[in-house]
Amino acid sequence: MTSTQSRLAALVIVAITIAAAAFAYMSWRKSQVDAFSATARASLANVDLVLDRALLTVRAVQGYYVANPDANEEGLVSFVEGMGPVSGLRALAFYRRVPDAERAGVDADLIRSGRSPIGIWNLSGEHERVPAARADYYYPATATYFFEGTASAYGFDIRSHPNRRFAVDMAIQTHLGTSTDVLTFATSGAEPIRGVVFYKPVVVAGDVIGIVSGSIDVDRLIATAEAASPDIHDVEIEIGPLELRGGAPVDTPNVTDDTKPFFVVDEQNHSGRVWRIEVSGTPGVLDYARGYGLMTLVLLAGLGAAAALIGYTTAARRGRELQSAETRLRRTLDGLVPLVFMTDPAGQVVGANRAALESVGNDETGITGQPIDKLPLWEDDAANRDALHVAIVRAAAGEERRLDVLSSETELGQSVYDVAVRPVAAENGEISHLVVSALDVSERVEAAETERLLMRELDHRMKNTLQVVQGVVRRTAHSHETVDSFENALLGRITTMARAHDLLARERWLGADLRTVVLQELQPFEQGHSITVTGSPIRINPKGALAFALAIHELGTNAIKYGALSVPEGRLAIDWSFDGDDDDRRLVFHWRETNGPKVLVPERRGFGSLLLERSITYDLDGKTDLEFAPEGVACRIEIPWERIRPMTASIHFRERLAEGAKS
Amino acid sequence: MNGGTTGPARVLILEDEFMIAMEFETIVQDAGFAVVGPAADVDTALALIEANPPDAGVLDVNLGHGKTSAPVADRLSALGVPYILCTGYQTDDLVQRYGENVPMLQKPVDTVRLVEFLRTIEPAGQ
Repeated sequence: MTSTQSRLAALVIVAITIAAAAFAYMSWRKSQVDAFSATARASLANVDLVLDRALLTVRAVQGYYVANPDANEEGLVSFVEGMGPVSGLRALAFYRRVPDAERAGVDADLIRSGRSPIGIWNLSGEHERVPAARADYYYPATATYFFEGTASAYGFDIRSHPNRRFAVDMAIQTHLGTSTDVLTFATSGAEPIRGVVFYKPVVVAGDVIGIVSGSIDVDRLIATAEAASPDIHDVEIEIGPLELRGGAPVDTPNVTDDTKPFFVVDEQNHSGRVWRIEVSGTPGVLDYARGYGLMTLVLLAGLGAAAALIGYTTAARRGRELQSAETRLRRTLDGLVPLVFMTDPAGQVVGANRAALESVGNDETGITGQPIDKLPLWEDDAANRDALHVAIVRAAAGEERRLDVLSSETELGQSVYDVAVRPVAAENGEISHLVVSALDVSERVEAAETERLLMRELDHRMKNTLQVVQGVVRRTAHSHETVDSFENALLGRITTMARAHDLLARERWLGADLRTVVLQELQPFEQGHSITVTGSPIRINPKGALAFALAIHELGTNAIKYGALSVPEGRLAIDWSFDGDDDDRRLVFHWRETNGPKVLVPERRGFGSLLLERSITYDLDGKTDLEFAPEGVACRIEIPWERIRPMTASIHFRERLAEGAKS
Repeated sequence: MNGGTTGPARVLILEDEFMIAMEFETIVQDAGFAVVGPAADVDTALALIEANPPDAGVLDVNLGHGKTSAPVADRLSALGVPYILCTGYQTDDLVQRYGENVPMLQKPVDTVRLVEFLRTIEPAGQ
């Protein structure tokens, strides 16, 4: 899975989680709302029950008076108490209609019975009782029943109360039950009580003979509703204006408000007024905890899944990154020119780059686990391998080592490697691996060796040349009678040496080409003579070059004086070739003169022939056969190739290595 | 030392270059000594010493191919035979190697000094 895919998948999981959490929340919320709604309805049912019971009682009293228009207070009390306890009702009263003509008698009865000292009375603006004002009809309270409290209202003309007159008049006019607005009842207690008074007209034979009233304690009703559940915080009751056109009371269904989840409204019609009861609240703490707990669980599960997915893909990606980093490293190592081996601290190969693998014939399994100093890559020489082994041991102890190691010989020759052995520490500081890198520095070593050889050869030559000149002078002086011949011979020899040195200097004293030496020395003797030189170019060392130069000089001097080169038709043929097998290879050189004057064997061997015969033998371990045959001088020189082969830097290096190992 | 026979003292010459060897040979012979060799390499020189130990030695130090006449010098020291070293280089490690008491001549060799050294040799049998 790519990281984009995994990110997308994680997003989907997060989205699903959020959706699930939202669903869980909504479900929980809905269940909460439903639960609250049920609670609220139960509470409202309580209110209904109380109200219905109260209104039923009022209606019953109305019926009682319809049946017994002349019933006195004792009759009312025994009727009410006969119905059993009634909650919600605060008081009941009967207001009898008194025509103005009968007022005096009623007044007298009230005063005499002690119920009202002033007879029928009105409530003045200052809440004081005053004798009733003159009217056609009076409605004084003639019987009361208090469920709570003892406030007496005997003789009180109900129509004189400003807040109640409208409802009373409406009941008298329409013969229907009415009710007041919410009133504040005067009580003996400290707390004023809010309430509503219901009026029921007592109609006998089409005539209203009185009014039955029942007062309801609204605060108590609210308290009852609120006590239904701790989730209900507030109950409000609003009572609408009196509208009697609708006739019979009608209950409207409960209303809930979606914008207010924990808010239930019930509207009821009681005696011409709409009661609007609002129940509001909040779910309990435990309920909330349960809801949030559910939501948290869902969210955690989802986010956990997303995190796990991202974690997994990140880990996978990191794994791939590590892998690609390893691949990059591997490619880098494979691209390196030096050989790179990785070994354990014991020096056993655990890996190698391409260059290293190529150097061991691309045989990775063959080298894995092998001690690196035992690889066939290195020259099988104890000193060579030991040096590498020591470097491994030291590197395993934490030292960085660097050394030159000689490779084994291949068809491409032999190489010198600049080998670096470096310890690699693991995180705990212990050396876990060694990195062995080897760079082929043959060319560099060769250049350094060449310079060293040059310096040595030059020094040697310089000192020896003076010594040789000293000897040549002495010998030449011994064998020449005249100063002129001495001078010529001496100059000739010294010039020959100078020319050979010249040639060697051009070749950086590493050696010279035999053919070049031969042609150069023959030059003074050519002068139109037929000279044939047959022989492939062969590089020989400086000593050999000098010896051949002197030999050709001596032979040529003799030939031009007495031999083939002394006459125009004389011929000289020179050739060389190798003889013998590899172990015993020899260079065989021929000098043959023909068509010259008849050769006479010299009576006395001069310095020249002595030089020729003994120098080659002595210096180069060779053999010189000088033959003074009558048809022409012939000279055969045979030298072991080992003595005149040019030295190469690697041979020198090997010698130095051997010397170093000894010391 | 030389088998009881009387005659000139015998001087071993070790020198890898023919021309110089001949030069030494001439000097030694002209000074009245007999020449042993000349030898061009260590093996030849050692063989000559074992066959008939000389009375003195004239040794070239550098014999080419990185070889020196050290084994021959050691052998002569062991036999108590005096020798003189001829060298192209005068270096400190060479002096330490052979000891400061060993006479040394720089190339090109001063004939007079070589002859002076040879004169210090007691002729054999005397």
